[in-house]
Amino acid sequence: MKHRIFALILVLVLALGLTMPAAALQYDKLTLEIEEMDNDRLQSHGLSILPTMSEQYGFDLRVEIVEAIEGEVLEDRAHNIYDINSYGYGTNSDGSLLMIQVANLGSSVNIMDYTVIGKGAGTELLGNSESLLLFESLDLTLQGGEMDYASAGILCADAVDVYAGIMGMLLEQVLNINPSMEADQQQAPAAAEEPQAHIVDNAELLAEEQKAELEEQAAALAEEYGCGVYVLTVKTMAGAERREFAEAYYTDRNLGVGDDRNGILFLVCMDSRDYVTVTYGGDDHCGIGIRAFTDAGIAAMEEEVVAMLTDGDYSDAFATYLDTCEDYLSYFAKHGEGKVPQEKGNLPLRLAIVVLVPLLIALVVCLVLRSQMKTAKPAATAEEYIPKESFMLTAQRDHFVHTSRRREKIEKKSGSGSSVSSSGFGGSKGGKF
Amino acid sequence: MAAKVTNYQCPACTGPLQFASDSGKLACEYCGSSFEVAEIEAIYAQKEEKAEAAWHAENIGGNWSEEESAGMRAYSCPSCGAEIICDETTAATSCVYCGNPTVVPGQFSGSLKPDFVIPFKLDKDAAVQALKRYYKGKVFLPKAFSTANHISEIKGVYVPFWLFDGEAECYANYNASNSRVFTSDEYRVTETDHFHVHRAGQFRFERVPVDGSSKMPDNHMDSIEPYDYSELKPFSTAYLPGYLADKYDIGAEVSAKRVDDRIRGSASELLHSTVQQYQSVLERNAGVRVKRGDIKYALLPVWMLHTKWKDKDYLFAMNGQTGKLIGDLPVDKGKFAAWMAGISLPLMAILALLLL
Repeated sequence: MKHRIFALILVLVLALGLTMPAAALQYDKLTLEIEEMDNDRLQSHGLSILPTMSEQYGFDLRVEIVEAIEGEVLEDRAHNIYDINSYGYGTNSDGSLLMIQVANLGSSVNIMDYTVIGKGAGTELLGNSESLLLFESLDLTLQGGEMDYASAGILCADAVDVYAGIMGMLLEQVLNINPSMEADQQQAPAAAEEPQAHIVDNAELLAEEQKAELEEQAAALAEEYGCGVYVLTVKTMAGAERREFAEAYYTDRNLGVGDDRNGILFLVCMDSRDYVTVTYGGDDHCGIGIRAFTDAGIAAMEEEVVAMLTDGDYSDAFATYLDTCEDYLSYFAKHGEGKVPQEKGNLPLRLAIVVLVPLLIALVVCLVLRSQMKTAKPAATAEEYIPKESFMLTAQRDHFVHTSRRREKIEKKSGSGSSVSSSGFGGSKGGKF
Repeated sequence: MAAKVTNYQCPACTGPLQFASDSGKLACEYCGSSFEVAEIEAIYAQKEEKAEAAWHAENIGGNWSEEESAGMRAYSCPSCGAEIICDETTAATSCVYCGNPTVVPGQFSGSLKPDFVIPFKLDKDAAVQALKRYYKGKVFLPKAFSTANHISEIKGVYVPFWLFDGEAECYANYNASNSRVFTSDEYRVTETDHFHVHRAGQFRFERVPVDGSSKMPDNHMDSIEPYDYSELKPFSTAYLPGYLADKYDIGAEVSAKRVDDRIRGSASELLHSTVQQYQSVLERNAGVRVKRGDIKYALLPVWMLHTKWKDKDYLFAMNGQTGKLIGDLPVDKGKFAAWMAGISLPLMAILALLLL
């Protein structure tokens, strides 16, 4: 009997072993079943960022990127793996697991589904309504369809970014767990607190030296005005809406300077040729990031920058963007309010004004001078010959007839303020270049 | 200086007397005596009758065609006997041969006698100076016009004027409104109170002048007004020597139409000035009834200056009493264009910098 039970277990283990991929990569907190999808970012997440954060928060942050198995329920599988491997810290096994399910098609992959499960404090955390943000962001990030291994790897790395970033935020906000200072000092800053590059050129539009130059200028701005000025270029947003993408990126990377996370982000996406500007200035929208950049100011900046983007002058465009932002920030620093560039109106009208108004003035002046040369005119009145005292009113009636009323809708002067969307971000609607 | 010999002779030395516009007296250039107008008038009351007899008004015949001779008169000069041809309305002129200023008798006699005259106060030089001043500061005046300034003719004329007295009754109806603007929620509300306003009134007018000479352009005569009526003098031909004078050839009834127009204009202004407490006033209709009173006949002094330039006539008129000079000047199109450009181009440049 003992033998039979042993044999059964053996068969089960073997069967399990057969279904498991032959070469699963294990980077401490991150497991990757499809080796071809490997990249540096996943590695650094698994070996450095996730372990550090887990330490700091006392909360086990795990990621499993697994091959799809037919018929399985992803969430059950995640729970199984969590339990089997004894993930989680402490008696309650506090922690969470992001599991991404990928179908390996031989030469390409298809990202099928994902789930995030939690145990102990993790259950509480994911049950909270705040955690919707995590799922929304992951939904946005993990959009795909069929793609090659490398792209899928990048996409997964993005997803792990989102997962780490938002989990960190949720841990602080919902569970009020603060990263231990001890761990902070020992380790390199966690992803969420890591100083972010201002110029992120994923679409590779800029030469290295151009990028360095822009980065230097942006860093100086952040230093001087306490407002991050960011540029993000991507090859694709994988179908995401541009504003949501930019806002999610801003949030995930915890961009911005100071308590209010003040900053402005200009996003350029090459495949859809989208651009958008988002600004952020704290939950109360009172930070410099919102107030320094007025709607009109952003519109004027975009008008100039987008023209250059259309022409393909990317480095000029971003330099102009930085210069304009610097102008707005310094104006705000001086005047305490956002700069509203003069509305110039349409060109034909301005041209007409430039030509016609001086002509009209000149004509009036010349006609007045000319009238002094034509002084023989018929007399229209005889006032000199009417003795003032002889004039007498014999009747004088003033009848009130009626009152008329006209209502006009007051056109709001656009752009003198900074509007903020429900997501808490300001900026522009964006468009195509 | 009215340096003309008259057929009034100095009672002291029999030299010719002239009307001096500065002193207002008749003066003798030879013995230096000067006489009050009334004094000479009395002495010459009888002589004038004699002089009248010496004039032989004849119809011009012979070499003149009917048309040409119509409205012309020939007289013989009482001084040298030469034939003076002038128009039928001429009342004072000078003999083209001996230069003696003469007054054509009979033109101002009986019912045609003017009631008043305002003697000349300003002389020919003053008129020429006034014209030169008038040229100054006129930026569009062609340079050649002022430099080659040839006044081809200058004459002092006593122009016949009708002076109308009377009363006028007038009324006018207006649509008036007051508006106020305020904002309510997201709307700008304009509330306008509308009123019907009625005004009626009356006034008196005194001595509105209208020239009674068809030779004088009406616009010029209107524009040299006003005259200072405090210097009106009872008429005497003694003021005329040295100047030209016409009798009227447009009757008071015809001239009265121009008065009515001016009274209508003034009535409208006067009534309008009483409608004050409104932001917008629009005249709907108006009417004037003019009751004409006294009509007086006066000779008023005018200097007429005539120049010709590029085959066009330019006529200036100066009030012989106040010195007000008016008249149309030629406009140099090139200068006009240069000024247009000079003003508009810099403005365009500035605006272009600001707006483009």
